[in-house]
Amino acid sequence: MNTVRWSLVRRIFEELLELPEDEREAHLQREAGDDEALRREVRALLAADDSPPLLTRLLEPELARLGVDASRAPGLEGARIGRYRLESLVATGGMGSVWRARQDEPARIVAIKTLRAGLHGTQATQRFRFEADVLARLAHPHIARIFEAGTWSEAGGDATTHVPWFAMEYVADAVDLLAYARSRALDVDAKLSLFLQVCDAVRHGHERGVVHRDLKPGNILVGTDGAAKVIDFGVARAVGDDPSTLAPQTVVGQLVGTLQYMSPEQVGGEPDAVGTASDVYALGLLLFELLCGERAHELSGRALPEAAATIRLAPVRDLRAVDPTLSDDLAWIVARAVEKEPGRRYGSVSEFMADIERHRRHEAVLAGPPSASYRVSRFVRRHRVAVGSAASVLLAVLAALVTVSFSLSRERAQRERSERVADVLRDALLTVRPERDGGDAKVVDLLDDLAVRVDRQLAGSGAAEADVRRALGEAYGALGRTLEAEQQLRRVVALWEGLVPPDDVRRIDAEIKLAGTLRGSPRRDEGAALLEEALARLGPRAASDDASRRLRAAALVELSSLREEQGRLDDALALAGQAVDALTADASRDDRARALARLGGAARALDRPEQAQAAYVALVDALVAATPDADATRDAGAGREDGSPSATSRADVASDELAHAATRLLAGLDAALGDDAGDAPDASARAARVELLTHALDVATFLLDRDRVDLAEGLLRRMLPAVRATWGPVQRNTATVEAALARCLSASGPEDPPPAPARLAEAEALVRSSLAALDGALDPEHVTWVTRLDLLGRILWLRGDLAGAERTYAEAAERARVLPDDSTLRALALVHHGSMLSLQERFDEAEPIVREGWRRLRNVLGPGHVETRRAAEDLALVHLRAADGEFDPSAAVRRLREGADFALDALGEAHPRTLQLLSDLSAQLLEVGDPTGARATAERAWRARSATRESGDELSALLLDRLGSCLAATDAADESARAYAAMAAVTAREHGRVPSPALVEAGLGALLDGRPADAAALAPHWDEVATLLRDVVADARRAWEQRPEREQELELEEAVARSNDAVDTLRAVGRADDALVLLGELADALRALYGPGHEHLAVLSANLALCLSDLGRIADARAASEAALAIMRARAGDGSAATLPYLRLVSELAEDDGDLEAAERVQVDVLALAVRVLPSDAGALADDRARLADLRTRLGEGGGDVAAQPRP
Amino acid sequence: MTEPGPATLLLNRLRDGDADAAAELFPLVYDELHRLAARDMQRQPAGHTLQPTALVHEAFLKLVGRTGGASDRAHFFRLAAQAMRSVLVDHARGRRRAKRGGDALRVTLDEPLVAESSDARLPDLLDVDEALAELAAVDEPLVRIVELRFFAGLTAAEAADVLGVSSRTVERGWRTARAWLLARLSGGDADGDDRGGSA
Repeated sequence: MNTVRWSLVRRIFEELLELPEDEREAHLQREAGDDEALRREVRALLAADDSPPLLTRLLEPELARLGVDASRAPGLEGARIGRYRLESLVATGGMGSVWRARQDEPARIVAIKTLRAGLHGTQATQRFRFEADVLARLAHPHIARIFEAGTWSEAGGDATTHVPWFAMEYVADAVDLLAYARSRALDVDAKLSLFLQVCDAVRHGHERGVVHRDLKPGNILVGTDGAAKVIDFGVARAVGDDPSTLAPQTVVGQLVGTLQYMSPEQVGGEPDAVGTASDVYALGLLLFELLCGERAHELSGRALPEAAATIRLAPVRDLRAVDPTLSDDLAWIVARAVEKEPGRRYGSVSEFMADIERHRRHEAVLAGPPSASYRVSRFVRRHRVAVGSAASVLLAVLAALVTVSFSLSRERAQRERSERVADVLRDALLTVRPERDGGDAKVVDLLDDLAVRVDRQLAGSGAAEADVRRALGEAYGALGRTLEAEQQLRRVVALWEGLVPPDDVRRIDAEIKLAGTLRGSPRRDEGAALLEEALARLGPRAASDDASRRLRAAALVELSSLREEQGRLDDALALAGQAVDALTADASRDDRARALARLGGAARALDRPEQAQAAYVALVDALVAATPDADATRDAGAGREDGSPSATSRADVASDELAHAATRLLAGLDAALGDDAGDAPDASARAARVELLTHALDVATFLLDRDRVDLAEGLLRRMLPAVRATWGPVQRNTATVEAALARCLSASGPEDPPPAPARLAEAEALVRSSLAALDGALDPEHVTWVTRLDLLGRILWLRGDLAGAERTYAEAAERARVLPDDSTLRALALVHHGSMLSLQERFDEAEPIVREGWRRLRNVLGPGHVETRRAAEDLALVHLRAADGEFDPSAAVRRLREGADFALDALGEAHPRTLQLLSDLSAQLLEVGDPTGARATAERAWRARSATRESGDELSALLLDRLGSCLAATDAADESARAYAAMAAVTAREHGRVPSPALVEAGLGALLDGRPADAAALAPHWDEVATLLRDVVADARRAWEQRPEREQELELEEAVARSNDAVDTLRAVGRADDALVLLGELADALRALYGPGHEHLAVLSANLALCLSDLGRIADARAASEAALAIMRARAGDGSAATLPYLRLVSELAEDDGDLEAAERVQVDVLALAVRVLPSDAGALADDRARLADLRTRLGEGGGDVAAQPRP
Repeated sequence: MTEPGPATLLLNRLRDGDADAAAELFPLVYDELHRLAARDMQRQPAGHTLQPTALVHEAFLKLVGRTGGASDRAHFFRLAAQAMRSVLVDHARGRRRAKRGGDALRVTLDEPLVAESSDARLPDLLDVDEALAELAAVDEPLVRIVELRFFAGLTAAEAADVLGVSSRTVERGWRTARAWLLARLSGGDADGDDRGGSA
């Protein structure tokens, strides 16, 4: 059999099926010609076509047996594989089974693992062989050894099956790690030593390049001898393997069981990120469970998606909260191992083990409470000292102190002072005893130690004490310990007060430093006062003395920052200007840059972009001139400028200036940072780098403010590695850079397509990392939380994660509650949160929240502000969508009325959202039997629309359509026709593909309006009109593939509405067959968009039933009507008002079919429902009663008593 | 929308054209179907027959969740139908082996006895499986339809949704495939290419 031959056979066969039996032979002769074999084949198919359902007979017994056998083991017992006889099944799963087997020589029991025979494809086989290879590579007392591997061939009836297997060490009477610890009631130390065996096995694997990837209790067996064995390297992978060729999970055992120990990066589907750190994570979870007997995450009973979310987002439980008798150290160790971010876990299993060993020896552990460990790591990075040596960390701290102390000493008593400082340092050094601090003590503790020592040993030493305390204060400041820093600097200021005159530079310098630590504290007013006083003292000297001038500028910069914090923005700007002016041409570039950066910041705070831009451009000049390749950069920049077309307007000049500055800054960063992503080589280079990066961050943020996203992105990308290396991964500046870059990556205008998925994924990772950095480092009430969560919410929304976005915005709104009442951020957080709820169809929750956000915006910004109006649109949309989701028309009317009232008030009657609400309201009013109200509403909407200049678009067509149907419903046929004609004209213009607008106008108008006489007069053009109608549907289908879902729905729904009208008319003119085609296409489109079971399909099926009935296919028609009813019942609920017309249809078609009994039966339901849902004076109710009576009369039951209750 | 489950992630990769994802997902689905079959049977009275369609739908909810989109459903059901085929065929194969004593060596010896006359033997699911393998060589889409309709028990409309074609196409294809299978299995020979006209 070949493809061409078969497709010929198939085509002819299928053609024959369409023909009456007596015509088939002739057709076959025609098609097959003299190809006798072909004829025979097709005849064989035809013969088989009528055969009894053999296939079902084959399937059912197999299904019955499968159910019975499914839980039983595959029948391999007693089978012999190689030198082994399988004795009993140990475990089985989708990939294969594990058997206990006996080997004769040497006589021993082994475990045989087999791959399931039915697994097609080579992937699974490859993976299975890979496991055998992996095990062969590993030789460790705590890893199950492999003895032999091979492939067993099983001859079946017609083919031979090949089953790969391998034999490995059998752990007799083994139980899993946790069961073992429980059954033996191990104490903490015994548990730890057992756990260390496991760690050592995993470490062994890592050293040989094998990551286990599926560590869980069931994969760690402990025999009666108490020795642990790690098994099941089924999903192991070699470090550096191409991750795409590997499975993310094992399938032996239940999936949730496996998920339980998966790391966030595994669950997150980032195969690239899965490495040794994932094993560290799994080990951490195991240790948690081993120690306290409970799971670190409780996932059982949760749906898989929810479980995955828990792993990725929810913090692991605190060990001490489960078992308070365990030590802090152990809790920290576990917490460190199970950090969400791989980079924050122990760097290796060895490090993990070393910390456990440290704990067992009662030494200080490397892990600390999370925030402390972050600070330590940051500090250590700053000083470029390898982690793992407390002594070297301390030395770095002390070396910095010594440098500072000595450089400041200009007194005659220098030598004496230095000696006393040296004494302190020596004492501090002596406290580092390798046996205690062999790993790492905590740097903060060391500083605290040093502070106590200074109290004891340097008290009264005057300048020496001041110098050391100043250094201490700065060290505390660098660690984020502002209170301690403030405390030390206060002492310094007090010391200098007693030692030197008021205008001494050292005293003023200390005061400026102290004021700096008061920034952001409630004592900032004191800081400002301090600076004002210092400036007054400096005044007389500043003109002549260089050092004084610098101090003056520094004090002005600091004071400007404080003023800004105090809300005195004009003063802040004036002071920053003074600072710039205070510096002469020969001032150091750092001083200059600082003053200019402050000036830019102050101008931004006042929303003066031009002034800010001037300051930042000057700042770039200062910075780039300060880098080694400045001249080259400047030349390169100038060269580029010469080549570019000259700017034509002031705005262009300004924007070019900005682009130019950004380019030069980027070149400056290149020159200063080089290719090295690591930290700067020495202290002064580091200081220069910190300055440069701080200022570059200012410039980048400004660019972002000015919507120069690409420029900002270029800078931020260049900066990020250096920022991370310089400040550490979890510092506030790093967090700011990450957040700014995330903003760039997720930026898109309202009309733009959303950013690419990869950019959004990166943005999410960045903003999450930045949020993690804020944790503990930032006051929980700080406004940055709100802006950053808002950013994350937006990114998640763009990524399509509505639930995540909703949760994030909810948190933003919650955090924003501490903001002032007039905060727009607070209002926006509410609007965003509510909109996400609305998108999840949680309208009742969404409405009050969005409304509250809008109300706040209106109060703060005024009703006409763009943000207020945007919020109002969002609220209108909530109403629209909520009404859309209502099955009960009167509930929809209530919602729409409320929404329309609001929109009329907040947005005005010509706003598209208002018009949509009015249009939907009008449609629903018709639905509930209020044609007059519907007509008034539709007329109002159309009047408002026709008064605008955009009255020729799709929305206009929609409004006209509504108006038309309302007019028709109120018996205003002529007006209705005119409305439809206008609508057709609009549609024709919009779609711009109609050769003869007049024809279409007439044709569509006649069709849609239900004027069969006119439509019939169009008979010569019928095909064109029909084509046009089909095009409407086809357009909607195309739109489905191209547009965002919401728009697709609108489009398609419009097509449904129009086609329903068209079907009515097509039937009226006797073209039910055309209508059938139209309905078929529409149904396909609907199913593609909504899947089966949407209520539109119910409408469609009902129409289908009518057409079929027209065509005399009553049985088919009845089936279609019943299908329609079933869909609607499933959708709206049995007994819903929405099912009423469908019930009626089913009954009527039954009557048409002559099945009066069925008709009567259904009509009873009709009446029961009508009595319940219709007003008692409704005309339809009377009709329903009359019809039932009629049916009963015809059935001979007498109809007189129908007016009473329907039969039960 | 809740967070996607691991099966969803695999489905995403599948949708992105990552063929390996199918290989990874297959055992998951296979295992789940098997487990559900066992559980379903324990809950039901004796004599009850499993409903493949219930199994695959439940496996979908279990592995993908209620949030799976239309495209997830399509990919999943296509795979689940293949997995259901494997579950049933493997089971049938296991029984055939059990009848022969469960020993590979003896099977080889007994071969001529058992396979005495394929005409006399009633066809079973393994024959269907083999026939389908043959059909797949010339008409892969038709085999997909059989898997969905026959092994996974989906309705024509559901299968049409999965394959992105009309119900009519599915119905027509299913009828053709059924006829071909019956012709092929009842000893007849619908293709006639290599065995000549025995029909």
